[in-house]
Amino acid sequence: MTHTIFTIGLRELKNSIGNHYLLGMTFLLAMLASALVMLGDTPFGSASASPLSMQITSLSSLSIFFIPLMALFMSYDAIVGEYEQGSLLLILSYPVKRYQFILGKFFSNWLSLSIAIIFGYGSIFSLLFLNEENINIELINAYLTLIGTSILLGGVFIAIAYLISTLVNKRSMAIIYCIAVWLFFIIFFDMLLLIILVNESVYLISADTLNNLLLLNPVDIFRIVSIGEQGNNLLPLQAIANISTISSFASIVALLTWISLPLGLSIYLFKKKVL
Amino acid sequence: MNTIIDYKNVCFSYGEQQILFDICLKIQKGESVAIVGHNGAGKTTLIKLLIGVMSPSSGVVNSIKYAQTSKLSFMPEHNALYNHLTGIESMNYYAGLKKADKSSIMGILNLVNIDFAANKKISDYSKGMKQRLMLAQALLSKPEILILDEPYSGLDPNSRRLFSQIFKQLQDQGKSVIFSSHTLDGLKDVASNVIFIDKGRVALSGNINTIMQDLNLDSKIEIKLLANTNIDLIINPIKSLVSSHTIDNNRVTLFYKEKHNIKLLKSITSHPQVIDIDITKANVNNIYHHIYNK
Repeated sequence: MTHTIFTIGLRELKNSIGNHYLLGMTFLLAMLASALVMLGDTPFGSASASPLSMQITSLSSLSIFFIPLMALFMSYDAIVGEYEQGSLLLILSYPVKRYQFILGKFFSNWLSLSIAIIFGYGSIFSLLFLNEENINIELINAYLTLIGTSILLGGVFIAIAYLISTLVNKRSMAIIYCIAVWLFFIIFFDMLLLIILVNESVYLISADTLNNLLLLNPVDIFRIVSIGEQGNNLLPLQAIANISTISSFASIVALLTWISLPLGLSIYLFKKKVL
Repeated sequence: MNTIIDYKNVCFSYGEQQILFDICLKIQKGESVAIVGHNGAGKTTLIKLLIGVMSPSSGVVNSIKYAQTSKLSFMPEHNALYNHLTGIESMNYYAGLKKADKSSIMGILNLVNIDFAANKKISDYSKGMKQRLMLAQALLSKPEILILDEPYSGLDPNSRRLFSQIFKQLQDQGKSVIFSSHTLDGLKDVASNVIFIDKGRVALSGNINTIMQDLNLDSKIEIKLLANTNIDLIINPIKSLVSSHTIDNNRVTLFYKEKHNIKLLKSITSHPQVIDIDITKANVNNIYHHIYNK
């Protein structure tokens, strides 16, 4: 079983390397992170947080926008692309179970994105730590949390892309749905949440209700762990993340659930799919 | 002979739409079978059932468990290869999935005459090369059954000959070769049996020679005559031997049963006005026309 998943995953990884997707993602993340770090050198406001802490917060915001987008774009055609190309029919005529096919591709895509995050952010953090005089365990922890939760966030959106890719029969439809998912989770969901909170006042919504609402959006869960831990309230959504009483452990479990559910559903639907 | 595939009244529906109706077929070990039909007749759907990626909606299937094992290989109609891989990387990938012996890869590439491009990226292959590589992946793990969807589609004559040779070799080794085709060129050379599919149903099936005998189809003679020849002079003596005839200026086409061949030729060649004769014996194309144009 693992041999088949590994074989499919390795081929997919070669694909990411061969078409320079992996290199491109790493470079893009490193460039965007560098731009943020350079902007972060400019003093702004009277924030009491350390510059490195604020840069980590900025990079968290970067993750929120770009990592879901990268995850969706790298995986939207994972199933439908192979279906359209005809390679799916060939592979499934082999002694390959449908779940093995999905898992092999999923773990490979996730690994590619993780490598891009680790090296993309890692290169910038190395520079930051070299220039930071007051390196403490909290900052290192925040840095590692950001990397870890960014990887989890990437996994969530890859799993969602797999679900979309299983449901549709055309690549063009898959990309439209992926853009819609990105807009919903990154922009519309939080806008709606802010509208509710501003109009009703945050104190009229119980902590449990707020927690439950935040758990409905993997991006907000990411915020709770990565930005929430920084304790900066520079942005309204960070403030929401700080109001939440969801623990970091529960947030990570929630992110893992957000990976497992769409992935499990895509495996179930793929098994039923008529090719 | 062992029956490897036995379908009784197999149907397949996609949603509300029924695609295959009461398919009955029996394929023995070592047989070479052609599934013939128009585009959209249901050939590819039948092949999808045979390779096990889809299950029948109803009907009885009594087959040896071969689908999705290394005993069965499949070659799809369209290029299903990963363009970023080289030929050898691609073969290694497929061999890995089948747990096939990787030391046999170069031998197979040599057999399909693609070994010279083993280290080239598939994106640089021509259509014929891609098709030969697709056949190569199907030959990995020495399958007992080879199922091919339109293997001859778009092939140049040399590759066509090569494919036919390989299919014959496999048959000689007792392997079963099942392939679909919408054309009939050279079919009799590679397939002993044929299944004609029409609108999702088996229109006719069996041994090609037996079918031709049973149908007793007409052969055809086209005669070219000198200008201003009295055509009745030619046709009247042989009228009882021909099934029908057509006249187009100084050209006459006669349709007749094979048994009258000699008598007809004797009569026709006795006329000095006949300047050219072209004989087309009843063949698989006639069966095709008999089924689809009736």
